[in-house]
Amino acid sequence: MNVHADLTPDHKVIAEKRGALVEFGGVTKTYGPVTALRPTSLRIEAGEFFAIIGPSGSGKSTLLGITAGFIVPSAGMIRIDGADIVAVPPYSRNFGMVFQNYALFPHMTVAENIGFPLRMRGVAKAEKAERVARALAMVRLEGLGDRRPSELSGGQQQRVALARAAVYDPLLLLMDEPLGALDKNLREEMQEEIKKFQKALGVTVIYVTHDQQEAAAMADRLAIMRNGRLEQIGSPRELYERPQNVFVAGFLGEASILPVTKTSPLAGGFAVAELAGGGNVEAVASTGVGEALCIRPECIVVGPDAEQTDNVFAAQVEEAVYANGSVRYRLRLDGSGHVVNARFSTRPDLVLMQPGQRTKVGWARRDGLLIEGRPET
Amino acid sequence: MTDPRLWRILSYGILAFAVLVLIYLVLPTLVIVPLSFSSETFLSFPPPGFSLQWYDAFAQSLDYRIAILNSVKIGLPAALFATVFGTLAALALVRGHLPGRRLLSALMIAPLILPQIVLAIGLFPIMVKLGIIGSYAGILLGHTVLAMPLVFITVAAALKSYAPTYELAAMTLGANRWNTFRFVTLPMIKPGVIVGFIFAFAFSFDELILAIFLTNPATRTVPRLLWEHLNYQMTPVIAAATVVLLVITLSMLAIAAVYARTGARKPSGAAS
Ligand SMILES: Nc1ncnc2c1ncn2[C@@H]1O[C@H](COP(=O)(O)OP(=O)(O)OP(=O)(O)O)[C@@H](O)[C@H]1O
Ligand SMILES: [Mg+2]
Repeated sequence: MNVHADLTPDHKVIAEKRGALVEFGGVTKTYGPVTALRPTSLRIEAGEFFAIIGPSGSGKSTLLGITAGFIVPSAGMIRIDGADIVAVPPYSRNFGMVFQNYALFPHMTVAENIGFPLRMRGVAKAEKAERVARALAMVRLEGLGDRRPSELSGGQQQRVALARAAVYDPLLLLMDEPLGALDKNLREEMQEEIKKFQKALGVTVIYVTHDQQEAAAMADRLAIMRNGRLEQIGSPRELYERPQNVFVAGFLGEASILPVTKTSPLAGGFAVAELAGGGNVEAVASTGVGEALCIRPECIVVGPDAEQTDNVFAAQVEEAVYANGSVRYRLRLDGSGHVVNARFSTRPDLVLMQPGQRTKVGWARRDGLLIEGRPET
Repeated sequence: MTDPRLWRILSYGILAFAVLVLIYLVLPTLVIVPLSFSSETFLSFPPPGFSLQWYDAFAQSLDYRIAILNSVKIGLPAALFATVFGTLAALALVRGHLPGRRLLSALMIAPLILPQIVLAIGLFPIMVKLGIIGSYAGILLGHTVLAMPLVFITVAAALKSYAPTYELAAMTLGANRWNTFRFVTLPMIKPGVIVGFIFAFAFSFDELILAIFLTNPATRTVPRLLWEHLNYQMTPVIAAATVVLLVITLSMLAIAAVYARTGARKPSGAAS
């Protein structure tokens, strides 16, 4: 919290590197027959903002709980800056954690809540008051120290939770859907604030969320989780543009995922694939032999321009949805009957197509990815 | 059936019935009040005249003074023990991960459901053997066992009213198990603990059957003394003593009700 204020010279070195390096090695959690977390290995760099997204029950909270120390892993190790901490109790780990419902103590005032971790660390009264005041200023809640949590708005409670988790300068901040209870506008505002906050502290953050846009906007890297497994790890752009399998491709954005039956390699990392139901496409053979073709909606060209692309199909518009300067089409390909989604920005003079209208769709071969897994439906 | 008049009549009928039940529940208890102000020397209803002589007699009676002292001497520590053990049991069974928690919870409240006479008959020979029959320790043990479920129920309800996230949060913030209990769990369940303590004390203060079996004339409690007096001297001093007992118990229950109310205020964002 007080990184830049009153640091003595020796502290400056530490202040350069405030975050912890976190390494998971084969961390596993089973509850009887239920596997909540499959063996997971992962390295999170010091000062990194790492997000985890995935459907409900995929094991996100389990991974976070194991890191915080209140879930004991069935196997594996966690190293913080090289030291194994699996045997360290949660209260000695010195991490900050923000819970979805904030878990602010209702019987304490805001200042007492923020002062609680300092009190547990035996910080002297005067220093405690000063650090609490600074923490309140940092989250822009000056003057609200004497309120009860129940007298604050959702966004204010969120800020208190953040201040409380950061007031003792933890090396690692864990957040389990910290913005899940807020409405959309407030959520976006808080995303920016948390990001600024993290940059100022230099702290390593592991951030769990349901919201893929939130994860992409905030994280340096993110992991997509399913059934207790990390499906893919990478920067938001990598995951979006180079998904390795159907699940990842379908989870981020609204990709068109088409089943393919046969692929044969071409030169330059490309391949020819036969769509189930007929038709050939050329695409990037990204992960070797794939059973599905993934195309991002903004890569699909609709209308006469489609004739110039590598893969051209006749199609019929099924649905056209306009929202804030962009339009989204659902198109059904003739012959194979597959559905593709296209999206592009509109200008005021552009005439939109109507459902039922016939048109051409196409995409460049570098924009089609052959990926692993079988598409649903 | 959809006739609103019919519904109105029906709802008045239900209200009247509820009032009758309440009167039936409370009135016999309150009959004792006019009796205690009787000018007559034996219990008769309705009392022929008004006098405070029986309250005076009650206040003068050494027997009653000793019995009240005994009741307090037994009730306070019994309530205290019941509160400590009942709270610990509730913590273990609500927050812990013991196998067979349901069965253990059922066992915890068994003393409340089983006839007290069964427990009394069971305890009697054991206490004789241990040589603590008639002593404070004996009745204290008995009352602690019987009062524990009351605390267990109120504290378990308090623990179930909020998600354990608060305790997890406290731990990540640096509170060890004891500090987590002291600064987070205990303040959160405080109304339940206090109400449990009051229930436990009120229970011990009113309890007769174990007192008959396990106390002797030196350690006898107010209910036992009343019972003995009923057997051979039917003077309104019994009524006066009963009214005093009633007032004490009712005021404790009133305090408990007030605490239960303040505890019912839900903490913000309780369960997830
Ligand atoms: N105490 C437990 N006993 C048994 N199974 C559990 C327990 N805790 C979690 N699980 C199971 O482990 C799996 C992962 O749970 P976890 O809470 O990590 O999911 P999550 O990804 O955080 O989901 P959500 O997005 O809904 O919070 C789930 O299938 C869940 O049912
Ligand atoms: Mg979760």
